[in-house]
Amino acid sequence: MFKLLKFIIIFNCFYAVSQSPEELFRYANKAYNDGQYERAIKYYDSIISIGQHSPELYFNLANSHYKLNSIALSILNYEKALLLNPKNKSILNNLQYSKNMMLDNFTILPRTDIELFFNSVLNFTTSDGWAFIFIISLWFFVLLLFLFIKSSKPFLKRVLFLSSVFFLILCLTTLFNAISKEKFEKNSISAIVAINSESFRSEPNIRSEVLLTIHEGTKVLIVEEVEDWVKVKLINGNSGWVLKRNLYPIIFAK
Amino acid sequence: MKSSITFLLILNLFFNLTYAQVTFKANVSKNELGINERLRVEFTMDKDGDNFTPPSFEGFRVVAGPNQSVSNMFVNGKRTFSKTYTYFLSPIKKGPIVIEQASIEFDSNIYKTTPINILVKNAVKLPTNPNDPNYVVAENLHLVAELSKNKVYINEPVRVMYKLYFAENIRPSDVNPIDVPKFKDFWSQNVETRRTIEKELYKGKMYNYVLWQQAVLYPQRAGKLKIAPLTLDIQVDVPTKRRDFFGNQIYTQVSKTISTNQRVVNVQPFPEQGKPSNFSGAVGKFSFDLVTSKSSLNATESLQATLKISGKGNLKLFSIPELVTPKFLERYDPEYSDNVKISLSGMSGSIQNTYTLIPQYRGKYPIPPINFSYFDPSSKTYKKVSTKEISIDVINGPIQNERKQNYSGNNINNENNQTAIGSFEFIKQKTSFKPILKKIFFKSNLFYFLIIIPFVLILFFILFIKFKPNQITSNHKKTEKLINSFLGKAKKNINKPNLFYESLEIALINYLKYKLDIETSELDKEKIKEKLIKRSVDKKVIDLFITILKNCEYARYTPSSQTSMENDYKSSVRAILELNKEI
Repeated sequence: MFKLLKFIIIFNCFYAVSQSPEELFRYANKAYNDGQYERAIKYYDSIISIGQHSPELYFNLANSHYKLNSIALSILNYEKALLLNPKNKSILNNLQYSKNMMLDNFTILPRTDIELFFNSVLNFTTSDGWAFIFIISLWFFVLLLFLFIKSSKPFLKRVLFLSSVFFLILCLTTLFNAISKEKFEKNSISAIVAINSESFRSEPNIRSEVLLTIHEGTKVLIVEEVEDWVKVKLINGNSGWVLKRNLYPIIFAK
Repeated sequence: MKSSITFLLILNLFFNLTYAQVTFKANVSKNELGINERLRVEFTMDKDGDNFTPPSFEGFRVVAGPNQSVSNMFVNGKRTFSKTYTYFLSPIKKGPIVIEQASIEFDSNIYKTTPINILVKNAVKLPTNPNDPNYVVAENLHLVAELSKNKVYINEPVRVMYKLYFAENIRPSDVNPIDVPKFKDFWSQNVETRRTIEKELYKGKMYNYVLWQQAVLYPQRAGKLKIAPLTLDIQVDVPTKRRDFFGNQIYTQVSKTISTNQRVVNVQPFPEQGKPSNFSGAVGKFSFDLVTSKSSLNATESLQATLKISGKGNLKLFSIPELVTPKFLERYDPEYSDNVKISLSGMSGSIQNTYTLIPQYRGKYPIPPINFSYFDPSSKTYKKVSTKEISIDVINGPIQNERKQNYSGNNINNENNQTAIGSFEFIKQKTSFKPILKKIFFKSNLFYFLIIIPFVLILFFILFIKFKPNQITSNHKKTEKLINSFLGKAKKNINKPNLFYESLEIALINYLKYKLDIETSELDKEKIKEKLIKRSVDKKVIDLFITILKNCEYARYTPSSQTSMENDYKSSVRAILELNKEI
């Protein structure tokens, strides 16, 4: 009896994963094209629950949510797609359509050109990418330093010294970037407001003053958490507390 | 002089005494009376005075008067004249009241009455003489305030009706309102009445009645709210027992002041339980709708969105919730209009706010549902109604590019930041999946391993490769260099014997100078030998050096062959090499 049950469970498991993500993706796209957006969303979600993802998957999922007028979920998934593929034009394009549906319109706190420059440098790649560049440049540095010690010709020696210094600098900056990018990735988790109107409070309790009301789809930066409450920062620089359950964090999870 | 003044004063006094015969008196019907009784006050004068000024009658209400009467009688040729002003007063409060002085002018003298003290006591039972017209009026005339409800919630309508009941046998002829109630703490609206006489049973007796005044009240605060009484002064024709010549009953006219009893409305506050946060005080039964004039249009065209609340309740006493629209759907201030009828049962109709909306960009603009909550007094619960979500499609128009907007604040040349944004893109068909939980390379073991590897490799090279064979070869190279630097010139001149030997000698001497730290003055074969021996150089090497130097000297004088030159060169190379090894 027990064996039979085990067999059934194993069989079911196999059945559940028998469909490959590519196959599910195809089904989902077909459902989307037929206008069955709810079904498409179900399929796309099942791919994520298998543990696979891609920017296109999040893009298509976001499109389906857009068609169903769910502002928060579509923005959330476009943002996830952008995390995987930060400069894709079609994602940015459709995200704009989603953002049109939003009720809030906060002006972005202006940033200095230097800040923008450093941000764009830091956002060139992920922390792993920076780490990879760091390893490569470290290797080059060591190799060139070795050659420098070995070589006897003065001109060659000079060239080798200069290039090894260059790689040393590159090495240090990429390490710095990798560390700060990792810190950024860990600490700056953004979230999307999930419900139509959420009170933005001065303290993490319901007795406190409501500073303003933020609406569905607004992107906030998570600063800290206290029990059920999350301190968030708006793009206009205001910060306050909102209920954790009313936010969708932009992180990848099954 | 002084005596003449005294005389004049006395004469004047006599004159006054003669005029002092004028009497001006105030008489009252009684000095003590009940609060429900009336007082008659007469001011009588036996001369025909003018400019009568009555007292203020504080504490009383003047029911009738002044009635002026003049009597002129001749009794036995003696004339008696009297002029009387009569007032009928009704006390307002209990306790002692003073009727102040009245004054009158006669022959340019002013005469005054003495003040009269009146004590007003509790209401007395009026004499129940069935024929007393006042009694008849009191029994048969009633003014009643009728409330449709005694216990209401805030903003729940209450109807108040003032009815004047009178029995068949009496006829009110003239009605003057004295005190019209002002409805404090209520929002009130008077409703027109036709004031026709109708019949109704009141206290078990059939009465005629007139609906004198009616109003709809919306209490504005909780608590026991008093409705101020309505007071009317009514002239009533009351039949008497007497009959006139034709046998008709003679009526007497009675003036009666009648007030309603004070009514209290018990206003309850709204229950706290289940009170919605957006409750704005609407009470009744409503429906709530949002209607747009178009559902699809082009950008920068306008459309009308109308938020309408219709139903029954305090429509004029709350505001319509605000329309919330997406940020790029430009919204102008609403235009308010209402169509509210106020009847006896309260307000009914509709109120609406019409907004003008102008979409700015292409796209889809869902207007989220708007909630409105009201209190339903019949079920004593809060009800929520909300509009349906409406989506507005903007077909043609420019496309919003938010990033462009963001940078425009601090970057003038933002052309580069613009990316052409097209229509809403279709889903992607191709993809390649990656596991969500990918391994993190940074700070992983592999990462640290890859950092260590190059250093380990270098250490390995230093320890095992560079240390031994490299040193030998490099030493060899060094000596080669050394030889080249010293013997290079000699090698060049190998075909010219004189120059060759000269340069060879210089080279060797230079080399020895460099090696042995000797000065040019000390250069002498014996000294060189000594020095070399001191340094414990091999004897063979010393000999070699010496022979080469000797050869050089000889060559200056004797011609030498090519072979000997080559031999000397080779041996000098060997000598340098050998010496280099030793020292």
